[in-house]
Amino acid sequence: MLLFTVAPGSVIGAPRAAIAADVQDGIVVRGRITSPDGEVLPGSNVVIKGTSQGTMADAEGNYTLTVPDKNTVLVFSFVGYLSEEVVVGDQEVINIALNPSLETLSEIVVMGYQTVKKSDVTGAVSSFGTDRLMRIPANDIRAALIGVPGVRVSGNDIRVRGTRSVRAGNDPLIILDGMPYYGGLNTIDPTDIASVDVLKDASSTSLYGAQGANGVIVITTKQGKEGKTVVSYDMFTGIGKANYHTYDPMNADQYVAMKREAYRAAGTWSSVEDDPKIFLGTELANLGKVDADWVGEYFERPTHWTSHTVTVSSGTPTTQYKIQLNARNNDARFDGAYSNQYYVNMNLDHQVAKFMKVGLAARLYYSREKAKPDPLPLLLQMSPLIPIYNEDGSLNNDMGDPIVKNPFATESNDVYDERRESWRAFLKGYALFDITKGLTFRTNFSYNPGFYAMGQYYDQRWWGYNDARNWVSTQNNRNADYMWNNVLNYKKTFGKHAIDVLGVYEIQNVEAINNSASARDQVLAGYKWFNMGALSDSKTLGSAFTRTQMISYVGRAHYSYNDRYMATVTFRQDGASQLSKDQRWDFFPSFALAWRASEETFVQENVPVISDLKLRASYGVSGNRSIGAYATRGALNVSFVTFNTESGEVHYPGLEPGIRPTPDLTWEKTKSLDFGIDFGLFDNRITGTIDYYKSKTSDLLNERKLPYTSGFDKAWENVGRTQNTGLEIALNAVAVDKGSFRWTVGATYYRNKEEMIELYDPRLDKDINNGWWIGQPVSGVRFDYKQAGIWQTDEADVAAIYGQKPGEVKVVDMNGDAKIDGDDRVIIGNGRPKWMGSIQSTINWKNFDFTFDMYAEIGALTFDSYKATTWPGQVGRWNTVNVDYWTPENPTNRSPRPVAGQTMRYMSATAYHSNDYIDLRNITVGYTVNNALLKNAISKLRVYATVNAPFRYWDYWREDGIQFNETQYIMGLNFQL
Amino acid sequence: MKKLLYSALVIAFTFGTIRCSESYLDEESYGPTVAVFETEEGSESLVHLLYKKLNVYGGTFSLGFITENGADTWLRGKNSAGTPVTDYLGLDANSADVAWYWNHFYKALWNCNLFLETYPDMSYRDPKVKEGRKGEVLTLQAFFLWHVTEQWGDTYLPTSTDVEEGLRAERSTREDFYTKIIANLEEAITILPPKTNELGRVDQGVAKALLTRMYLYHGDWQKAADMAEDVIKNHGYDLEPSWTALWDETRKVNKEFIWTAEFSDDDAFGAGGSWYWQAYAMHIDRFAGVKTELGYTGFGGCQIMPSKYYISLFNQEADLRWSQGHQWVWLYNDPTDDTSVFPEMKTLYSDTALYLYTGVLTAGQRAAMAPKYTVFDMSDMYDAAGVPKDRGTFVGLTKFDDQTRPSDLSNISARNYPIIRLGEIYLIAAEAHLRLGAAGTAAEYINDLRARVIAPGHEAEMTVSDADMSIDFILDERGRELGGEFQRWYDLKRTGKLLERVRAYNPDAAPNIQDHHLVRPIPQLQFDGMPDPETLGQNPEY
Repeated sequence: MLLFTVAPGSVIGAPRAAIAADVQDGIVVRGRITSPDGEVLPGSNVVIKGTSQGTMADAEGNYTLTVPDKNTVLVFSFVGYLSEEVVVGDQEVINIALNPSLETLSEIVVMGYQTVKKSDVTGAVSSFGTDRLMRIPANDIRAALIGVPGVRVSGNDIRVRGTRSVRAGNDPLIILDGMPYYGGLNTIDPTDIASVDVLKDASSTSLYGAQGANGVIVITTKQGKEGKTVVSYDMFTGIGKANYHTYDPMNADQYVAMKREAYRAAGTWSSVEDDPKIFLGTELANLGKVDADWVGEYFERPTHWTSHTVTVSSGTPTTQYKIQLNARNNDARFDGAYSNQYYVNMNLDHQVAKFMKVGLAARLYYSREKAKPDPLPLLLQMSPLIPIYNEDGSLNNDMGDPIVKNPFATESNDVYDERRESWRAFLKGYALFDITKGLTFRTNFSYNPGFYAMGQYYDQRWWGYNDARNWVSTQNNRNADYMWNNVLNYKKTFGKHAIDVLGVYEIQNVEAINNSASARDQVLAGYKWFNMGALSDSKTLGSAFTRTQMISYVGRAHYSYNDRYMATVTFRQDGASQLSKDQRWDFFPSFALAWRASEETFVQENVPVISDLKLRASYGVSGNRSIGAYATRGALNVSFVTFNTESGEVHYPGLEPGIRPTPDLTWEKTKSLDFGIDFGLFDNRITGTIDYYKSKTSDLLNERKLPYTSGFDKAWENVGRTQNTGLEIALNAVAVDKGSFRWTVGATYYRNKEEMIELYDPRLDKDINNGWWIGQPVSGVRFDYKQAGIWQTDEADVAAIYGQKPGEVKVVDMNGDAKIDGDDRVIIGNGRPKWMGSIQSTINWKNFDFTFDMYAEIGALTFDSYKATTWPGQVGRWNTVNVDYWTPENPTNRSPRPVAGQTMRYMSATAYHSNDYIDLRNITVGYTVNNALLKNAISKLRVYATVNAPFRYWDYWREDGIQFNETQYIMGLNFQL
Repeated sequence: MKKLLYSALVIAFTFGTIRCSESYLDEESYGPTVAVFETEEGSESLVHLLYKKLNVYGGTFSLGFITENGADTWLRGKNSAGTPVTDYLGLDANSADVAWYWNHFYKALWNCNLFLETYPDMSYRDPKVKEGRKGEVLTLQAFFLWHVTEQWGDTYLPTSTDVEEGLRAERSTREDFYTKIIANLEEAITILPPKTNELGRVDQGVAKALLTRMYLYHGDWQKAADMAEDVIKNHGYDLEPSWTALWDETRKVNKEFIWTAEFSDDDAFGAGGSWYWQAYAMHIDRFAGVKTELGYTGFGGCQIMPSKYYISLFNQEADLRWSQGHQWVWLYNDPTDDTSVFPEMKTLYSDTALYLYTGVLTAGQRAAMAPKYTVFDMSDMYDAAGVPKDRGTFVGLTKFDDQTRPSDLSNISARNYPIIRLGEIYLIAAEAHLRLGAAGTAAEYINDLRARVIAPGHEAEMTVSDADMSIDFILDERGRELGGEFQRWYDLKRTGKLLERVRAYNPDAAPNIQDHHLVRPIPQLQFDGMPDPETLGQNPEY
C-alpha cells in the first residue's frame, strides 16, 4: 500500500521543479490523460524521454506539448499509476489511459459516512481498488480480501482480526456506497467496485458502533465522471479442471482385496468360497471384468466460466451518469447444472443548483441457478465392480442393491430438478446541500428489496430419496430492508489548525417474510413444483416473519495541527429492537491520535531516507448485536401430536416453553487498542504499514447452559470473554524501475491469537461439549485421543490390556492408568493458522504485464472427516479411497484393519493433519496493444491469459487428506472506446 | 438565503422524525408468549405436547439402547452408536444417550408442573374436560418419574417450576418417587374418564394399567394382582387372537393395546418421526437375489441384534412367537440381481436366496447349499463366546415391521408402539401371584397368555404348571413375549438379576459391567449449569 499523500492538483515525489515547458520548433502533440475508467488525472506528467522537458496536465487531464520530432518518446506518469511510453510517430493527438500500479490506494479513504484523506487517517484501515479486484477473476470480493492483513477468508466466512463471538455473528458489516447492506456480497457486481476499505481498529469501526466489532467492509462503486463518453467492454472465459489426486478410490482389485480382508478380520470370509457372503450378486458376476472409475468420470469433466461487462459513462459539469451491465455464467460438472448472475448498475448525479446536488443509483441483481446435489461422497463409495454405463452407452441403473442409485442419474431433470432464483435491488437516492463554506448536509435513503424463489422436484431415482411418491417443494422469501441516514459535516482550516466534524442520524429496518410449501406424489410429474394445490398427499406449509430495527446517532470530530498532530474522537449511540426495552440503547466511544513525524524538520534533516512516517494509536469500544430478532422474548416449541381412532388419525397442536425469556439481554462489547506505523522510505520506493492490536470482547451474547431440571437447557445471557491479539505488516516496494521495465512487489504478514478468556461460568476452564477451553480459540479446537500408531502383531499382549487387538488404532494412554478413557484426550490443535502471508508481484515490460499472487497459511490443524467417520462407517459394504490399512501382512501404522460389521474405535485420532499450505493463487500475462497501432480509434485494448490456482503445496494433501481444488484457465480482454 | 432556507427545512424535517424514535424500536412479532398457557387453548397445547414426549417409544433407536440393550437378550448392532449404554464401555457423565434422556424426561416433568401450577386459574369452558386433563397430566407425570428413578435411582424429584429449585436439584429417594407415582395414579383414576376413543390418550384404563406395573415395581404384590385382574376384566381389553393379529400394523386400534405412542405418516403432522421399526432388521440387499421390499424385513437398521441367549429362549418348533415374530429366511425376489453364482436360484418368491441357520451346519450340508443360496449358520454369526462376528447379519425381530410404508425403501412410517398392552398385564399378574406364593395361579395366567402362540401339536411342550414357575422363568417368558418393548433392563434390575444375567449372557457387556451400573451417571451438562453441583452430586462411582 502506498502511503504518500496527494492532494488533488499537487504531486509529491515527482520532479516538479524540473519540468519546464519547452518552446522550440517541433510537433505539437495534444491529448488527455485518464485512468482506465476514464477518470481524469489532473496534474499528471508528460516528459520527453531522456530529458527534463515536459508539461503537466490541466484540471481536465488535457495537455499540450511541443516535441522535437517523430521519434520522440513521451513518458506519461502519475503518482500511483504505471508510467507509459509512447512513440509520437504521426500522431497529433495522444490520449492515454494509465493503469494504476500495484496496491495503489486512492489518496482518499472511504469511511462510509465520509471520506478522509489518507494522510489524515488516525485508525487502521486497509484499502484497495480495481487493480486488486481485477487481478484475480472471481465472483465477489472475497478473492481480493485474501491476503489483506487483518482479514482471513475461510470458505464463505470473512473474519476481521479474529473471531470474537461464540453465539452471535462474527461477520463484518458491509457498507455499500455509504449505506449498511445486508443483501450479501454475491449480489454486488465485482466489476463495478471502485474501492474497498476495510475498517479494523476501534477508532474506525466505532463509527458503526453496535455493528462494528467484527470489522467493517466499506465498498464504493464506480460513478459517472465528467468528460467525454467512455464505452468499455471487458470479458473473460475459461475452464476449470479439478486437482483431485487424493480422491483416489480403490480400483476393482484393491476393492476386492479390502472387502475380503474386512470380512476375514470379522471371521466371515476365509476363501473365495465365501465371496457370496460379502459381494453383491452383480459384483460377483463382474469380478475380473469390470473396473469402473466413478470419481474420474466426474472430475474429468471441466467447469466453464464466462463474464461479459459493458460500461457506458459520461458527464457534463452538472450531470454525470454511468450504466453497466454484467452477465456471468458458471457451468458445473453435472450436466445441466449452472449458476448465472446478471447485474445492472446505474448512477445518475445532477447538480441542481450551486448549493445542491442530487443523485440516484440503482443496482439490480438477478441470479438463476440450476442446482444439483453434490455427488462426491457417493462417487467415492460406488463399487468399481459395477459399470457406470451399459454397453450401449446408456446409464446403468442397476446398482445391484435397490437402495443404491447411480449418482449420474441425478443429472436428468426428470430425476432431480431444482431451480433457485434470486433478485436484489439496491436503490438509493441522495441530496447534498452545500449550506455555507465547509458545512454540508447530506441525506441518503436506500431501499433494498430482495426476492428468492426456489422450486425443487425429485423422485426416488435420486440417491437421497427413497419414497416411491415424488417430492415437490417451493420456497419464496421476501426481504424489505431500508436505511436512511443524514450526515451533517463541517470542515474548516484556519492557519495551522484543521477541523472536520461529523454528525449522523440513521435508522435501519431489516425485514423478511418467508413462505414455503412441500408435498409428495405429484402424479403429473410435468407440473414439477407448480400446481401444488392439486396434490392430495402429505402437504406441508411454512411461513415466517422477522423484523429488526435500529436507530443510531454518530458524532465524530477530527482535529489536526500543522498536518502533523492529529486527534479523532468518535462516539455512537445505538438502539436496537432485538434487545429488551431497558437495555437497547448503548454508547460506543473511541479516540485516536496520530503524528506525522516525517513532517518534522528534525526528521527530514537527520533521517533523509524516511520520506514518510506516521505513528498512530487508537482505543475504543464497538459492539455486536448480531443475534436474531425476538431473542429476549423466549420461544415456544411447536409440534403436532397424533392419536388414533377407529376412523383414523386425529391431530392436536402442542406447545411448550422452549427458550427462557431474557429481558435483560444487552450488547456484546469489544474494547480494542491499536498501535500503527505507516512509513515510506527512499522517496517512497518502499512503503509499509505495521499494526499491533489487542481487543477484548466481554458480555458475550452467549447461550448460558442451564440444567434441564430448571425447565430449560439454556438462556441467552451476556457472559464470558474472548480476546484477540495480532500483528499486521504490509510492505510494498518498487524493486526495479529501469526504462520500460518496472517490477513492484507487495508482501503482507498477519498473525492473530484468538483466545477464550472466560466461559459463561468463571469457575470453568473448559466446556468440552461446546469445544471451549480457556486460552484456546473460540471454535475449531480439536480435543481427542492422540494416535500412536496401529497395534502390531507382536504387541498383542499390551493391546489386550486395553481390550484391543492387533490391527486396531493405538492411542496414547496419556495418564498411564492402563485404560483408555475420556481423561486420555488432549488438545490436538485448532483450525486457526498461526500466521498468514501473501506476496503480490507485478512486472511491466514494454506492453507486457506479468503478475503473480501467492498466499500461505501456517500453523493450523485440519481434520479429515472422511477418514474419521465415513470410511469406518462403510467398511465391508462400500468402496473407499485407497487407504493404507493394516493387515497381518501389511503392518502399517497409518490406518487400522478394516473389520466388517464392527465399530472401529479411535478413528478420529487418525484424521488430524497439518493444514499448512502455500497457494500460487494466480498467474497472469497481459499485452496492451500499442496506442499507435490503434490509431486512437480505440483508447485501450488489452488481452490477457490468466490461471487461477495453478499450484498448491499442502501438508494435508501430502498426508493424503481428502480434498480437491480447481485450477481455472482463463482468457480475457479489456477494450475501451 | 434561499439555500439556507431549503437546507434548514430539510434538516428540520429529518431531525423532526427523531421524536418518534423510541416506539420505532418496539419489536414486531406474531408469535404467542408464555402467557398463552393460562388460556384453554394454550393449556390444551401444553398437555398435548406432553404426549409428544412419549414418541421416544418408536421415535428413537436410543430408547431401545437404554431399555433393551445392556441386558441379556439383545446386543449392539452394526449401526448402533450406543456403546456406553449397550456395553457399559466408557459409560460416564459425558455419555450422549444418558444426557439426552435426562434432558427429555426433566423437560417433560417441568411441563407437568407448569400445567399443575396454572391449573387452578385455568379457564376451561367444560370443567369436566379440565379435570380430565389433570388426570392425564398426573398419569404422564407418574410415567416420566418412573423412567427417571429407574434410570438414575435416588435423584431429583421436581415439585415445581421454580428455577431455584431446579438449579439446586436436591435428591429424593426412589421410595419418594414411588410414593409420588402411586399417589398420582390413584388420584388420576378417580378423575379420568373411563374410556377415550383416542388410542394414545390417557384414560382410566391406561392409568390403572400403569398403576398395575408400578405396584409390581414397588413390590405391592397383592395390589398388583388385584389391579391386573381389574384391568383384564373391566375395561374392554382383550388378548388379540394370534401373534400376527397383535402386530398387524394395518389395524392400529386393537383390543390389546392399552396405551401407545402414535405416529403420523402425513408430512403436515410430522411424518418421518418413527424409526424403531427398522432397528431389529439386518441389511439384506447386499446378498445375491434379495432386495428390500415391503413384506420383507431387511431395511437395514442394524441397531439391535439378538444375543445367542435370546435365540436359545425359544422352542422354535412350538412357539409361534418365534416363527411368526422373526425372520431368518428370505426368498429370491430380485431378478435384476446377477445370481449366476447360484445356478439353482430360479423361481421368484419360491427359491430361497438367504438363509440364517440357528444351528451348526456340517460340511456336507454346506456343500449341498452352495449352489442354491447364501447361508450363515450360528458359527458364522457368533464366535464361541457369543460375540457377533458380523453385526450386520442376524435373525430379525419382525413385530415392529411396517409394511404400510408408502414404498419399499421409504422410511416414513406411521406404525404405533405399545407402551402398555394387555399381554404384559397377564405377565404382571403371574409374577405377582408367584410372589404371593400362588404358583398355580401364576401358571394359569401364563397358559392363558400362551394359548394363541402354540403351534398345532405342540400343546404339551408349551403348557406350564406351578412347578415351572420361578422368577427366572418369568424373566425368560417376558423376554419371549415383550422382546423389544422397552422394559428388559428395568425387569432385570428390579428382580436383582441384571449383573448376573449380563455376565452370563451378554459377552459384549460382561467384561465392563460393574455394580454401580445399576443406575446411570448424571450428565455433566446438568452439573455445568448448576451454581453448586454439590447440591445434587454424582451417582456413586461415576
